Amino acid sequence: MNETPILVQNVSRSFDGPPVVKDLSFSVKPSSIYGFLGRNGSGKTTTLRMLAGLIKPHAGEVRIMGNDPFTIGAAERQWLGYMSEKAVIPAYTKVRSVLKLGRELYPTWDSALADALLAKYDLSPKKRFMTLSQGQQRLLSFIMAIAPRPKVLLLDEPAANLDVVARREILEDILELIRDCGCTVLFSTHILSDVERVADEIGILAQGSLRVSEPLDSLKDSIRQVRFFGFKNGSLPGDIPESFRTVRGKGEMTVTLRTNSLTTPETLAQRWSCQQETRALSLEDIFIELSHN
Amino acid sequence: MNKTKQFWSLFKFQTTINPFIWFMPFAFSGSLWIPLLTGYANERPFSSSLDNYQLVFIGFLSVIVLAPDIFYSAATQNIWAASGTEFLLTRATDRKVVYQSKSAFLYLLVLIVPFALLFFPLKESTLKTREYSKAVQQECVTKLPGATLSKDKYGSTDQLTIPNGNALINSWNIWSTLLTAIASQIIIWTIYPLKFRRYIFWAIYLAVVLGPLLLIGHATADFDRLSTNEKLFFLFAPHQILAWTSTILAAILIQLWCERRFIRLEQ
Repeated sequence: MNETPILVQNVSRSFDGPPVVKDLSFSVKPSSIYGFLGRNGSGKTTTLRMLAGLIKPHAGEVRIMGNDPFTIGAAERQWLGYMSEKAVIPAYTKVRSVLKLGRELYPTWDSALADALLAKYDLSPKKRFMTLSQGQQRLLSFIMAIAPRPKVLLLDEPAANLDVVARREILEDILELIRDCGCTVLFSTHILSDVERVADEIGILAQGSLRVSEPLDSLKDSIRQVRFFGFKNGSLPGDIPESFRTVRGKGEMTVTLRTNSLTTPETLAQRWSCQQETRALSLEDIFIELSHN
Repeated sequence: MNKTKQFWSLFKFQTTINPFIWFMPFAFSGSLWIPLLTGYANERPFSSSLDNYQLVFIGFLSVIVLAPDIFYSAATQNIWAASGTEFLLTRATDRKVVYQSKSAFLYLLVLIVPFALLFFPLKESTLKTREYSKAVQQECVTKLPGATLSKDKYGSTDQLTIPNGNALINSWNIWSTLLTAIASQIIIWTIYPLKFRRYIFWAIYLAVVLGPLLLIGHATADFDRLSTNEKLFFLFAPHQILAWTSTILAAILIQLWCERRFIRLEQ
């Protein structure tokens, strides 16, 4: 697979109003898991719907294995697995009809995997989709996405609407399967612990724009929260261009910023003639800091 | 997977999406089959009625099968998500084939009863009925080959006998159903990208359904004038081959147009 499996380039999209996604660009490396984070309404689902070929970008382009997902046919689609955040499987359809369709449409359908998951979660093929529990509904949607053994897997909030116990139980399996599937995964969620365990790379979306997109370790290493205090001339300096968020207090300033060789807390403190205190952030802290309006 | 296999897989899946949808054609086509049953009971098989009330519901049924999201609102989202369009478009399918399977299912639903009723004229093809409208009597005698007026056993001269009349009325019912299904598809895919499509749909639907009701007073006041329905029937009856050929041609062209439109539209 020479093509970048998932490519989003300068994409913007609106729905009768201000843009939901603004000039968004990122790509996902082959066989990696990309955690796509953002608060509700940040544009995650819109981005995934564009990648799934359900809607078109108003500007820029999206590509799945080099193809426009809106125009691809069955042959290319068999390599693309998609799990919507909504229950899109028809409510009255029986589980067996859904699985039968999967078997008929995909030459690569993994019946053994599908059957094992059905058995594990006590999913009766005779049941109608609407009679399944929320967890079972999510699981069936996941089976439909992973059993074709896709090369690219798009998961939109796979644990949406589940209680804590069901979420943990089902996510354990989902995460294990996507870790082992060898496919390229784009995993959208606002639940950080889900992503932290599996993602190779993280993208944080806020108000339709990508605030960061980089490997999880590098993200944790480079983003710091620094408190500057004890300013000798008494006045607080202006904003730092590299900062994500600045909170000003009485005689002190707390800045969330990306540190690099040129911008370090020490050099800034020296420039402003003040003292500094640096704190490492967890993924959750980074997410909160970067998702602020 | 070749497109024919894909079509059949999707078509079979469509038939299982909502079991309740199967009741609709039978419930909606009561005006076609109830008179038949009562006709049998009275030993006067078949109705001469040209009124096919199923047509009223075809627009509604078309939206449910093809584009239920036209009805979407916060309150109905879960109910209408039952169409499965998003689910099918995100599987290993061609958008065109998804549409073909949906429209084939719609045609099956709306034509199943009129086609099933074709078996009845095989048993008794001649239509014998009482017709009191002089205008209709006149049109029948002049435009339908072999149609005659005669006295019935009570001495009334309003007994109308039309050879192959039952088959003709059945053909009329299938033709009008097909025409309505075609028109519904055009309307749906024309208004689909519009912002207020739901309101536009209901405005068109109510205008089509309620329009004739507003004219009832006018129609019944003048018994010796042909209704619009009757006028259409007497245009159709003597030119059946032309009507059928042009309708089938239109159905193919409009199907191609709808497929192209569906492929380009966002869901």
